[in-house]
Amino acid sequence: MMFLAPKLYKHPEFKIGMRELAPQALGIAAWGLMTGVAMVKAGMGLWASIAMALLVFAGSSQLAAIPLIVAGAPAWVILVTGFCVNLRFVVFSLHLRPYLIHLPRWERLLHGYVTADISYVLFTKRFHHPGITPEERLTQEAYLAGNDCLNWVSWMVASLLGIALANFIPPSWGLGFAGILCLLGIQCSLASTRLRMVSSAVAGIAAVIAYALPLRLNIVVAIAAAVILCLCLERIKPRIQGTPA
Amino acid sequence: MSHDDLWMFGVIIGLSVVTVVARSFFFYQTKTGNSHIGRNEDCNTRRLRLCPQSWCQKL
Repeated sequence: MMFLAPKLYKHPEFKIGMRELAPQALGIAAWGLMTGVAMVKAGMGLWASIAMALLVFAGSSQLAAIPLIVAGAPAWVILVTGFCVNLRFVVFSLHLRPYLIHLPRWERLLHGYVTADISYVLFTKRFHHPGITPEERLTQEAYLAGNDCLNWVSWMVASLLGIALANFIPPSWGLGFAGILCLLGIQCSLASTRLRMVSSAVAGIAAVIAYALPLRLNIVVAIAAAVILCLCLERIKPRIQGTPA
Repeated sequence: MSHDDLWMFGVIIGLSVVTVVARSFFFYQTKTGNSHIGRNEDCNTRRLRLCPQSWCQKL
């Protein structure tokens, strides 16, 4: 794992990355715990649940796939659902591309695999532009690795704990909602300009309106609506961008 | 291992592949190396020697 590369974990930014994710780690863990519980409670079996937790590492995709797997849906339906739920990461990868494209391919894929929602948000919040010099790039990579490391550990430990304690944790506790609250908190801190507020509101409204769409396509609709509207707003009224709220 | 178990593990592996593909969708590099557009300093690196020099000269 890239977390084990000395050039990264010995870099001061690695610790900063971990420290900045720490407040959200509890929410991620609660979300992971409930995903672990959900897998076992749905009847997936111990080893399949462990394999899914270790290999898939995508909470929303796992939660969308569990009922389909249990119901014996065709494999292609499960995979298409998983991909559709993950479509937001395609947008994230487009944004992160200039930050990571200088790395060897396997490192880029590994970064992509372990960079989840909160890590992406914190990273892009801290670094507005890709690094130019080798030192800047290493700094950014170390921060992202530290961020991803704590994210991965909190998710994995909690997921495996949830699988082990599935019969003792009732789903009625609703701990999974803690993960949503985490994302909501970060989203509010990012809404620092009027345009960002508009995009946030539009995405939220579009996601609710399109909720009935299959394969969780409402997420894609929300992203598309927010991006298209904000691009139009930027063209019509460039002054909106960057205006403090 | 039963057929159902194999199917489930196949789906799990498929989901992990789908996750990697989605999360790294734009991290793949084209053979022409045009992913390095705008990074003139990369033109001297080993990786970009595979790319047409015209990409670097245009920068």
